[in-house]
Amino acid sequence: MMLENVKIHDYPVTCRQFGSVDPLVLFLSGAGGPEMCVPFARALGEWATVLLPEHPGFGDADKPDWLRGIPDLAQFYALLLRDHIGRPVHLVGHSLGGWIAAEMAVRCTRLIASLTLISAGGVKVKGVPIADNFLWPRERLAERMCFDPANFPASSAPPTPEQLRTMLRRQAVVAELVWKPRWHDPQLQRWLPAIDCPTQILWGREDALFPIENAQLYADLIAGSELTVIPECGHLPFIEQPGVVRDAIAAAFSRN
Amino acid sequence: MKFCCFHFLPYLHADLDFRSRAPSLWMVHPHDYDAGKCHALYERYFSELELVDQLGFDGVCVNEHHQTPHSLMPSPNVIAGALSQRVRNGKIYILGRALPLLDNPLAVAEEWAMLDNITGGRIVCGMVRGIGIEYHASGANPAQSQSRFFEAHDLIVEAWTRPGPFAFDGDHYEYGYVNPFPRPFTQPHPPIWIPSGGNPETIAWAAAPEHRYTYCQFFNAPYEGVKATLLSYRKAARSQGYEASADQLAWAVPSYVAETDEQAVAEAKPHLEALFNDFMSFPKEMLLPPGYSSVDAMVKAMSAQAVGGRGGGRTTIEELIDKGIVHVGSFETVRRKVRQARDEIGLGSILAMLQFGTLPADLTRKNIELYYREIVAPLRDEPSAFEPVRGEAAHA
Repeated sequence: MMLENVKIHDYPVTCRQFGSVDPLVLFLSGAGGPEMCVPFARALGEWATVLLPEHPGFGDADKPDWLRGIPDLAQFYALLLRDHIGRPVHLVGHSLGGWIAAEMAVRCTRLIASLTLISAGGVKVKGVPIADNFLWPRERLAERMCFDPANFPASSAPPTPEQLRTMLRRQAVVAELVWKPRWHDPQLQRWLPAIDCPTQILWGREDALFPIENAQLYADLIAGSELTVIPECGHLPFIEQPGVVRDAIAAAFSRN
Repeated sequence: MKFCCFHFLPYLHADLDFRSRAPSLWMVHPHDYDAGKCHALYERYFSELELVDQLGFDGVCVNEHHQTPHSLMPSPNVIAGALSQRVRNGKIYILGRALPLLDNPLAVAEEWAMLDNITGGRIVCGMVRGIGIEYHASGANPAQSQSRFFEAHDLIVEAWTRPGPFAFDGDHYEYGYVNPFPRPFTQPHPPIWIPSGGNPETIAWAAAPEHRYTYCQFFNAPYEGVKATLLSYRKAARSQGYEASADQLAWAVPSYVAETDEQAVAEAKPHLEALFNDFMSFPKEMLLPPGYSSVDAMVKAMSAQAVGGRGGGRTTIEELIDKGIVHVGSFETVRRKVRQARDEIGLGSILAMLQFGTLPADLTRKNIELYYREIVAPLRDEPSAFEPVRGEAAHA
């Protein structure tokens, strides 16, 4: 297994690994955490080595003092790439993880073989609202996140006290990162044209959180990028349309 | 014991049948607003607080809420400025100003210094984080609420007490020049109060020996919870080496008195039930934004909410009375409840909400006058039977 007993900036890296064949995929999960990405990462692991880290502050360890914004996470993963992976990866990011991936790519693409942004945060089109997910009632989460609420990977059991505490801690970290400006960074938007690696953008057509205009903005600002809008799909394409997402990532392998 | 009148200045013409349009009257509701009625309400409420002052209460209390008909006071300092010309004897308690919402809290140090000079030292400065919904309404980051609160407090106190100019280098606030003018009238600075819903970290901080700030419990908790929270302040003080005085403990409680229990209940019922069920109704997502408090405090607040949950039904005045959330009844009934809090908790101040919800002008004035005559006058000089150690033992 890669990345065991690795620390970055004094913070221990927690990372799941699926598969062991080339190529190498670094999958950055969204605000919900890596757990819901596991089935997809495991399936992709038949074709590649998939690294699925848990973002700092998302687990049981205390949030590191240096974590104040998405650029801090981009810096964290850039150091992971440079100092501990050391070879090109296919970088995939979903939602908040897509925002981190974009922040990494505007800085340096030397170790990024391809970039796949899935329903990514980070940008905003003026006048087009991003939904206020912080006011979504918990009992309505499935219908807001998915085209078909039955696809939402919710546990039917109420959380244990320890799960509740982890969830509250994680939500607090997410709020600190994305609350203001909400789910985007104007500076990132200004530098997206600097991305010079093969890039594709995947977006659920029925994404209730990030409007499709955001996908188009990403596509417009990153030269040569490809946009795929996935029908019958909400904010979690790798859950609702895993085949489409897997094929798109595999296509990036073969282009390289 | 001190007695003040807390007034929320509600826009009581709000259409309370709002639920088909929005989940709350706050922030997400399209306001139905009449400027003429609003103007008249300000005049009505100022005259009520003027009456409070003329009767001889110790002070009037105002506070801050945003984007809601619950309170016509998005800026309590504006209200305090207006009241400074009409409340001439008692103090004006600003309970409080929500510091973390601001990007320039030095302005609050300036405004409070102005008010302190204008009133000749008759303001009390309440520092609050603001309830969770204010973080949705203002855009301020709830995950930084506590750290911004403590830092804004440090800045304001330093601005008042340290000769300027000096630089302030905080994590959230940075100033090259801190040198407010005018300086506070009260030396070293006006009294600081900490109104809160019972957050244990806030209580421990307020009780610290270098602070000894008066802790004010807000009005939506059952008496047993209020008692536990205020005694936890005493305990926090004791664990830091001193016994808290009664002056350090206050409780804001909706109150209504009449000749008999039955009459008080009948007169207050629709208005008090409107306060608790309509004006103060919000989904939990609005009240507890992520990171607003520590995980421990969030878990405590969520379980308190679950216990206090109404299961969809409306809370009745009878339930509110039974739980001791409100003081409603005959003169003797309410005197008994005030004495109970004074003697069991060592409570030093009651901030009676004598207008609430849709309570009209005639009943509000009657309530203010009777409350003064029947509660304040007989009780303000009556000695407390509270004994610190026994009180704590009784609670344990």
